[in-house]
Amino acid sequence: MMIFEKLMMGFGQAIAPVVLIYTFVGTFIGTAVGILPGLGPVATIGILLPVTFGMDPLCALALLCGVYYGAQYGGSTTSILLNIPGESASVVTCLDGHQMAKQGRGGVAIGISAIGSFIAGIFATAALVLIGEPLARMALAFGPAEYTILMALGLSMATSLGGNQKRALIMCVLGLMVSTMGTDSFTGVARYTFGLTILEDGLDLVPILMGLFALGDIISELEQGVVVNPAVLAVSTRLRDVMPKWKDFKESVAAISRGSFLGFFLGILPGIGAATTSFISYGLEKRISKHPEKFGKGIIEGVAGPESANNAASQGALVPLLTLGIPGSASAAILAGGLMMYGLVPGPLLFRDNPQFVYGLIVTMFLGNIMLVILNMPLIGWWVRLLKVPLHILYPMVIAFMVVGAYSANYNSADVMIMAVFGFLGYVARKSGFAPAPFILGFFLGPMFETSLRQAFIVGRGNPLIFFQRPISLVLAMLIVLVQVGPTLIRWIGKIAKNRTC
Amino acid sequence: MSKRDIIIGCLLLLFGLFWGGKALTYDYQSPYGPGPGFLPFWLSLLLIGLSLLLIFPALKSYRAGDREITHENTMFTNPLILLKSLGVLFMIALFLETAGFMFIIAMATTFYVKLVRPEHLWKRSVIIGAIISILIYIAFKYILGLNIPRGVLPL
Repeated sequence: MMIFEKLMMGFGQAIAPVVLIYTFVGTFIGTAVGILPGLGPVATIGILLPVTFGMDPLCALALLCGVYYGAQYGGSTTSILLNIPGESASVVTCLDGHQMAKQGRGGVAIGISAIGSFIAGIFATAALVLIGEPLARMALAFGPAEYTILMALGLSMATSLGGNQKRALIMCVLGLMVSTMGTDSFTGVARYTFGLTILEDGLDLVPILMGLFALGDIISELEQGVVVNPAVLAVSTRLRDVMPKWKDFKESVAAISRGSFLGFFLGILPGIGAATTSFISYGLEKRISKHPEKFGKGIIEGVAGPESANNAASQGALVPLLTLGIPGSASAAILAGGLMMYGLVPGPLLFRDNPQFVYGLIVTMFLGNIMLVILNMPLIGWWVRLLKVPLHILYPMVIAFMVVGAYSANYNSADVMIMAVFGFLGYVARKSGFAPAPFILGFFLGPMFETSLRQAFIVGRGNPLIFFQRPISLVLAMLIVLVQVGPTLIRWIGKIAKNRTC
Repeated sequence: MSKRDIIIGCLLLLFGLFWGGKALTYDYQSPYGPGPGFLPFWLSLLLIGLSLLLIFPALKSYRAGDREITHENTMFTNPLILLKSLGVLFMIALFLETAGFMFIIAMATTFYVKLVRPEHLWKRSVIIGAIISILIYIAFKYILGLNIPRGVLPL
């Protein structure tokens, strides 16, 4: 079947009214969590995951994916208007977006960020269609050794890019360690259960991620006190003021194209994430601009490039998930958990065995991006009003949602306790400079990594050289070394060069 | 951050030693290949190594005089809020099934409303807590069909 026919098949699935409704609800919630500081897409998808039990898989994933990419749209609004990034990928948008808002061009900044995100989203989804299936077909030739090394590569990239490498590696190892709790699938031996029956099946992803992300954040903010910015009241929300002019389009079209391309291809690489991509895009725009001195003072390219890049990256991160079964970010790890909940194993077989689902999901992304432009531009006034919801109502509501989410993962109140424990750990980790995302990646990939590792050893009769004897795994292993040693090597060479110049 | 790094590093070292010690009680090798203790053992060795890499540079900079912690990273500035927030969650876990979702969540949200806005009167906090609890219960129990414990309330 040709790609076009498959897309048409997916279109048939995606335009079912119920799927459209869930896509809309997902993008709506995604925009809201992107706008509200403190509640990110990871925690929200985690909260919603148990809620989707019993739904049709396409409806559930359309909802969760809508939250995932919708948050990238919404995150820019608070960055531009209030200088408060709704989520990490929008931090860089504050630099020029907020300056534009101060100059009375906040509406234009929001408009161009929505249009850039839309173009990037459509580009990334089209690219996913084009490269998804060939990549999945290639992955069918992978054996346990290749998978082990591929997962190790994903984990090593997640720990080496963005933030402190040592701390990220520690979090990743801790995630892998916690994932070994429960009954060993090879021998049936109970590991680290301490005689507790609730630990025999291991820990569930949902309470852990809600604790580490949402609860850790909320406790942190409760401790610091709550700030309400009155600037939100002074923003013009008329459509006329939000729509960018032709001159704005002309100035930002190249930045949007570069951001979309860069974002998608960086997003495919596991671990890079939308936040890092947006910073790289900002750096690129500044470097190639004829007016680099205007960056940071309210230049439109400084908003268009990074906003397109972060949206393209978030959709690019779905490529390794859907084709190889390896999530590139914490949000993608939870989406993978969602797929598995429905008996759909993310990976190369997904394209072969469930094309209706995969292409249906891809088409919901096209439609979701269209919905997001409609939601983000004419309704901007409504979204700004959302920021006025008092936190003494918002936080208790979120905590109540989290309790339902944690409890309904296994219908066991012990999961609420586990969430509280991980909430405390998330708070400590955040305050000590340890990002929780590598923990989630390690925890999610842990069981798959262990299974592939042990299978590879069985195939290789205990010989560790099996990881280097096959060409694909050898190349991947070399990439791991490059990723781990590369940044240090570059810094070292830079230091030597600097010393020589001095 | 150096003092905190030393403390966190030591805690991680202890955790690694505990995890590794426990891993040694599982078979390292099985008739089919690596046993259940194989990966946990190597992971704990890795954690021990990483925690030492965290401790030694931190010790060095601590001796050199870096003892400052930036304001935004100050931990336990208000330990009571932390204790109260987590304590309520433990209470929810303990009484969720016996007291029921609506009752326990109403109590908890009332408490959280009061925690965020201490100046609110209890009466107002109770009303907000009860409304949040009822709305969430209806949404999850009747609209989404989740099996939420109803406990003492005949709903």
